[in-house]
Amino acid sequence: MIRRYVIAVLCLLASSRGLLVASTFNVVGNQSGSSQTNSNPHFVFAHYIVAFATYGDSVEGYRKEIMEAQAANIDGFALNVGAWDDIQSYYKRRVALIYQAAEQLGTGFKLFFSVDFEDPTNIVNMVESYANRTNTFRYQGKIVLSSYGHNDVPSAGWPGMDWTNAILGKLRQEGYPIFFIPYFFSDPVTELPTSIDATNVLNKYAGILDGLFDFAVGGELEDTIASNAQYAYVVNQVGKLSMTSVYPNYWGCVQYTIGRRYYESLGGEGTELQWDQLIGYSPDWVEIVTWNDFNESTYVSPVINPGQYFSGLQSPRRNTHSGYLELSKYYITWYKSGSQPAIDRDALFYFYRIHPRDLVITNDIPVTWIVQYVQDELFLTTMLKSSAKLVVTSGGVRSEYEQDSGISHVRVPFQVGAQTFELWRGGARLGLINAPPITTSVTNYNFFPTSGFCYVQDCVTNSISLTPAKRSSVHLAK
Amino acid sequence: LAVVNPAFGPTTISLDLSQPALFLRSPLLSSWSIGGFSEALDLRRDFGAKGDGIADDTAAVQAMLSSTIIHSNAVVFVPPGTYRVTQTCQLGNGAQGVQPRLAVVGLDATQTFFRWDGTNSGPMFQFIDYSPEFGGITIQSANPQFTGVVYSAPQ
Repeated sequence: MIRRYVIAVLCLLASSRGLLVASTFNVVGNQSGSSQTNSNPHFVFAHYIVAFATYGDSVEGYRKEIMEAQAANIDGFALNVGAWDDIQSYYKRRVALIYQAAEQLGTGFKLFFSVDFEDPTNIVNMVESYANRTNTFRYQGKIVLSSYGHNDVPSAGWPGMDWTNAILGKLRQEGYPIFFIPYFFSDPVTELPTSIDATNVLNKYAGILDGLFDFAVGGELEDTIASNAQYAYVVNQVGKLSMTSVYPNYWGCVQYTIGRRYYESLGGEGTELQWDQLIGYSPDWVEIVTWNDFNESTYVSPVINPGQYFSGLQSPRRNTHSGYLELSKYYITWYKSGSQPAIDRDALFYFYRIHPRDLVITNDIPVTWIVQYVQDELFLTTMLKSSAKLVVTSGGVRSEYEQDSGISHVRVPFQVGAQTFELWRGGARLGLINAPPITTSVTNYNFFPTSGFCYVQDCVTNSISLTPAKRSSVHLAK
Repeated sequence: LAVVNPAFGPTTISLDLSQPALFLRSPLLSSWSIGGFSEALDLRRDFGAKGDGIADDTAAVQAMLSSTIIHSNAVVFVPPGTYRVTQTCQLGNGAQGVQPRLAVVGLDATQTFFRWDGTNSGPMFQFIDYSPEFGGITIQSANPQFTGVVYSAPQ
């Protein structure tokens, strides 16, 4: 059965977390391509896990990643740093290489730290070490600094750090004023905070916050969207800067003790839904979570085979997520410009898991946290200048879909076997994708979806107009 | 790999390279980014294509794809014209580690044609692991069984 894409507004309203959103402001997506309502300059960053060197420890590799990010209109990386010492020295080494790469390119790529460790002295040292570098992101004349948690959460027994004095105050004293926009845990801790959580965090840390980020993944799609919308609304209401998250997919591959959580993100549909919503309410900044967290399936790095670079990521294979980033380019540009871009090229994107949901693998830790809507389906997205026919052959089962111009989505039940997708227009086959097979012959569970894309062009047959003179010339030349 | 610079004069229409570092835009691709590239190349100037509808430009088009070995992050501008291709042109990831990135951009799909004149049904392009970005080009063939692009994704 085909399910045509429908904006999931009703889902959002039905969500327990979404109820407050619906009652306080309109989060229905931007349907008309109208201009942004928030007048602050819009930036899009990507959360970069420094612990993973996608192309290895080299300036060349980091140059490549920065170029890939800028190709998608991403303004910079939020560098997630898990230590700043001589024990885990790769953090210092890689940050140095990333900065070198950005400086060599000279393309204005922005870098700022997202603190993910607790050591005020080393945090201050880290920030000061790069404070005067060209690519360090400054906003309103201040050095931008973010964080993944590491605030005090009494109910959890987490003391956190003295951000006010030992970090931000210290930096200010030493001549480095900070624009502080962290993701701070709520109390009690929840992965998908609400407007109430945002209010509580804003009240508790009012003296040090310039803005607030919501790192909202690890939940049902409508709940992550609702969390972000509520957060941005409350943060902007009190005059702070809002930073919203978007993500491609979530699977807690190594969360062995809690069922290896998997949430369905609906491929291109989910990508559009997230961006469509946030374009509607126009947060100040966006942070894609993540660029390269290869352990939680949230990566948008277009690296073809992420697993080949790290021995620890060899099993299960990390399938490329390149389609997520390529499709996101369109929405990133829309969000930043405030107007819906025209579609001037044809493309086909695919997103799916490479084995059935209920496959049983006896020698691996099972994936038991699968809730709500998770079906064995292909998620296909077409971006078309004019209508075309999509032909899907999944495990030998063929189906056809008439796709309109613009962006359209189709879900197709998948069958084990080869997967091919074709675009036809006017009797010509514009393109054929031989996509990865869906198999039951895997030795480990693999809920990292595979995602890719192919651009095609207008393809015309039987209508070539050749002048007699040119045809004659061809014959003479032979 | 030979990257030639023949004596074909510069085209009268070209991309605006006034801001080459970041987001190249052409009149056609004016509405959204095609990204940042470290090099901007030209199918005629840099690869020797003629685009006159007479010469066989297969070698030039293949050279453009193969050049990603050395131009790993390039946009190739295709001046208006008709480029005859008689054999399938291929781009495979091949290299370990850093894969190429390539965008092939014509100014206007009504003026820029890749014409398949091969004896079989194509495809004109076969990409493995990596699919370049195309824009502003029309692919033509008189063969009703013709396929423009075949892309084999990372398996």
